[in-house]
Amino acid sequence: MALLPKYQKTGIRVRQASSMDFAAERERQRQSGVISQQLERMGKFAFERGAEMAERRGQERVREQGAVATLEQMQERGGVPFTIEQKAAYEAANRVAVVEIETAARSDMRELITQADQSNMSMAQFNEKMSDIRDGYSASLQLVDPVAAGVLSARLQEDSATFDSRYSEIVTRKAKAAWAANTEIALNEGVQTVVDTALREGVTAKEIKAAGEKLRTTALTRGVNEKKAQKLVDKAVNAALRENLIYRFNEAAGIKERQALLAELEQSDTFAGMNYEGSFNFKSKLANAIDREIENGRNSYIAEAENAQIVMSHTGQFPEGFDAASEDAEVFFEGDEETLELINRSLEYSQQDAVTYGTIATMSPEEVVNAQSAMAEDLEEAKARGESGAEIQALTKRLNDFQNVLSDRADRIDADPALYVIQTNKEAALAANKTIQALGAGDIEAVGEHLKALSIELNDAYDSIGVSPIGRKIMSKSMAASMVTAIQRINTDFEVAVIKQVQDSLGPIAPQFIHEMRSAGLQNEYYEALQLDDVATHTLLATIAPIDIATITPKTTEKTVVDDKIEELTDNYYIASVRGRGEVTVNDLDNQMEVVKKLAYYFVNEGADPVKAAESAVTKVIPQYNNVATLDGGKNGQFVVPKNLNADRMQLFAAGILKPSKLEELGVVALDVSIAGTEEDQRISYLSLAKNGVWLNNDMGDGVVLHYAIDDRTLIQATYEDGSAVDIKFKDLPTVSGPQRTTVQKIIDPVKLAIPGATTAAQIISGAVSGGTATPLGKGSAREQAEIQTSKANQISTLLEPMFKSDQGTQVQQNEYRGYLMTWMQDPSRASDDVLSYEDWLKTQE
Amino acid sequence: MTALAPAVPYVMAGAQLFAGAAQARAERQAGLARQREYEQQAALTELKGRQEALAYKQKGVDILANLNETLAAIIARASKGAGDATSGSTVTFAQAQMASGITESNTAADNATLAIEQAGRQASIYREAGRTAAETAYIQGTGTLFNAVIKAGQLLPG
Repeated sequence: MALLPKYQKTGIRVRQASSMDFAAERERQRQSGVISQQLERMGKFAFERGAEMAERRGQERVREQGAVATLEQMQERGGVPFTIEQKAAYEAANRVAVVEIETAARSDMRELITQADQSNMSMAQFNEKMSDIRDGYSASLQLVDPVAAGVLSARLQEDSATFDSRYSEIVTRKAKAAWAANTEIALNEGVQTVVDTALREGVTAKEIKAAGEKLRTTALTRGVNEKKAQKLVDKAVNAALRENLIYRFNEAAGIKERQALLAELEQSDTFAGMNYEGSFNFKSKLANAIDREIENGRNSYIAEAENAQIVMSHTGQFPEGFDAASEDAEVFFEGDEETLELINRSLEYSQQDAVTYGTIATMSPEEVVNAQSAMAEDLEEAKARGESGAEIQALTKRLNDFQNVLSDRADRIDADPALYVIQTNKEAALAANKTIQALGAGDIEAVGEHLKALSIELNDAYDSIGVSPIGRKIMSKSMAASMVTAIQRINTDFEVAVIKQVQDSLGPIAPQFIHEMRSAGLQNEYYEALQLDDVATHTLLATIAPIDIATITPKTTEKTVVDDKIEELTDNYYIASVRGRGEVTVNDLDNQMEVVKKLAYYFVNEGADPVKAAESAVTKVIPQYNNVATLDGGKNGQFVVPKNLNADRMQLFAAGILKPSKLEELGVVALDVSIAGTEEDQRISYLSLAKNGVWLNNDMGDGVVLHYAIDDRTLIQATYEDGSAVDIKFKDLPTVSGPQRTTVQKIIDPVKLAIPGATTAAQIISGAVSGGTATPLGKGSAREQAEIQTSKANQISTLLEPMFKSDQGTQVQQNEYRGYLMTWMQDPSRASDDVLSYEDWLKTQE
Repeated sequence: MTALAPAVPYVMAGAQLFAGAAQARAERQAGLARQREYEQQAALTELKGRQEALAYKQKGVDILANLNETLAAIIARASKGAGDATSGSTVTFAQAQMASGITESNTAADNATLAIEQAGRQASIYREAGRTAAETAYIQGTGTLFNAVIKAGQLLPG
């Protein structure tokens, strides 16, 4: 058989699986890694934050509980810290506890030193207490960890040693100081003992030296060396000897004894402990002391003698304690006996004059003139007799002293007349004292009574010494000021009532009282309230008194309306009030108008209409503002009539008096020729007065005064034969205008009052000669006229002063000069510089 | 400058937050890129499997062609020489040869199937890996963002 072809195998085999790439597993592994990594990161973060918070809690625990307390607590719970919080607390507590314990220990140690220093503790006791402190704190070390305990223990040891050392220094220093102080005290006392020895009566130099020896013994005992002890003793003994000399000098009975001691010292060139220069200076010092003492004594004696003369002249007695026969005076005036003689004679004269002429404090003007004339005559007679120079000198001094005392009296009266009387009059002083006491006790009624009593005493004295009615006061300035202060301290609503009560109890002197109160500072509102009876207005005025007017002044338009309305309503009242009056009245009126304005402004502020406010204010403050009497258009007068009286009727009564027959019946005298400068006879004078006479308000406003109108502008008060002014009260006016004459208040003739010593002449003249105008003037002219008259009156006072002191001219000439001044004053055409001095006027009389 | 000082902590915190967010976004994108890479690898692997299977199928065709040629030759030679070519030893011989050929053909067919299955399995692994990579990037980005928020919070004042 043929060979058959065989199938050729390809050799194919079963496919073997190729290697697989397990990428998914790999990615899962990677993912797990990433998750693990992220979780680890978050876990780490959470752990770190947690650990931090745990540490913070641990530290907070230490802060809250305190380091030692924390450690004690941890120790109680087993000691070893496990948690982070515990570890942190443990570490912080350890750190803080070490500082706390050391600080506390140091504080205790410091306190121990202070206590030990104060109580002078012994060193042994101090060490024992220091040891206690150290041991006590060491015991607390078991709480802290061993390393910190070791450090703390070492520090406590060091601190303890430092404080031991410090106290040791203190103890040593104290001991040294105590010894030094004791030594110094002992030696100082020893020196003082030596010096004190020198200041004993009758001690000798030997005794002083013996005291020095005792000092030496003390010094040596205290450890002072010999040289220093001797130096100390010498210094003390020399000082004591000097002190002894000064002691003897000062304790000498008088200047003569001192001079004797100085003479004794002059025997030695040097004194113990002093060189020649020192001794010389010492003696010079004592000699100068004697000279000074003589000079001072002399000056003092002269001053005392002059004062004694003044007191004697015023009161008739020498002041208490004054010795007119002092033996020292001889020494003071040694070598100048003439001066002493002059002083002694002056003292004798003052005593004799007090007996002969009375005391200045009570001397009337006439008595003053008589005394002065008598003294001048004594002087002239002595000159004529050819007396010695000393006698002439003494009499001249007597006259000068008298004039000086008069001048002093005039000054004091001018300054405060009531005070002068109170100071020189026992009864017045007693009444014044009682017034002040009653015021202090709040007894208002008694104040009024005592003031009345005082007023009587004062007026008696004023009458006696010749004080013009205008110059008279019923209180001293200080009394018035006290009164105002005391009353204004009272509750506002009650003030006016209190013043009113005083006023009521004063009776007729009430106006004067309230006037003086205003001068002493009583506010205008109270002053006006006291002129009124309406209680509601009192309260209103007391309410506005403390208000500043600037704070209630309304706006310009309203203010103008108010001001104009007030002026319109009060025009007649103002003119009538100011006419024939002085500057004081003008000021009073201006003050009154200010109160009216203030009250009106107050009403406007309260919402009132300006016109009604002005009307209401005027009506309340000046109820009599429209009660003005005007005679013949003002030619025969213009005056304000009190509200309760009828102005028209008063006008008729006043006009009824202006008849020649009535004037004659009343006894009105013709003008004093020497004053008026006219030569009209009585009949012509009455006719003139009946035709041109002018009625004006008197000072108190409770009546009218008749005036001559001697020319167009000058008025002179008409008088009765006794010299008193024709001053008729409103209440008397109906009667006087009838057939009966009723008089009236008198005033003293100003010319008679203008005498030596009365320096209130200006007031007397300005008050008595009521200058003014015959015809009504406007407000401006009235004010100007008042100012001119006041100025002239003041000038007259100055012109009269030299005349009082001058010995030139006779009494008649002096009176004529005063008449000359009055004529000048009343002449409106004469200027202020158109008047002669007394000396120049005398020349024109030769 | 002093007036701006109070704002500095806020600016720093903002910068920190911004940087963290950017980093997280980058990580997320990196993860997504990785996922896309795995997707492409999976597609390529499937393609390679199909190519390999195709090669095995071609091999099977070649085997069957070889077998046909061998059987044809047997029949031809048997007819020409001795006897009946469709009976006796010739048939047996031919059957033996056909068995060998069929076996190899079957092996080639099996290999093609294996190649397709293994490629499909590998592609599936790659897709799973891609998803895991994307997930990982998301987790990592979230962690980064969280960290940035914490750090920014620590930078704020107060």
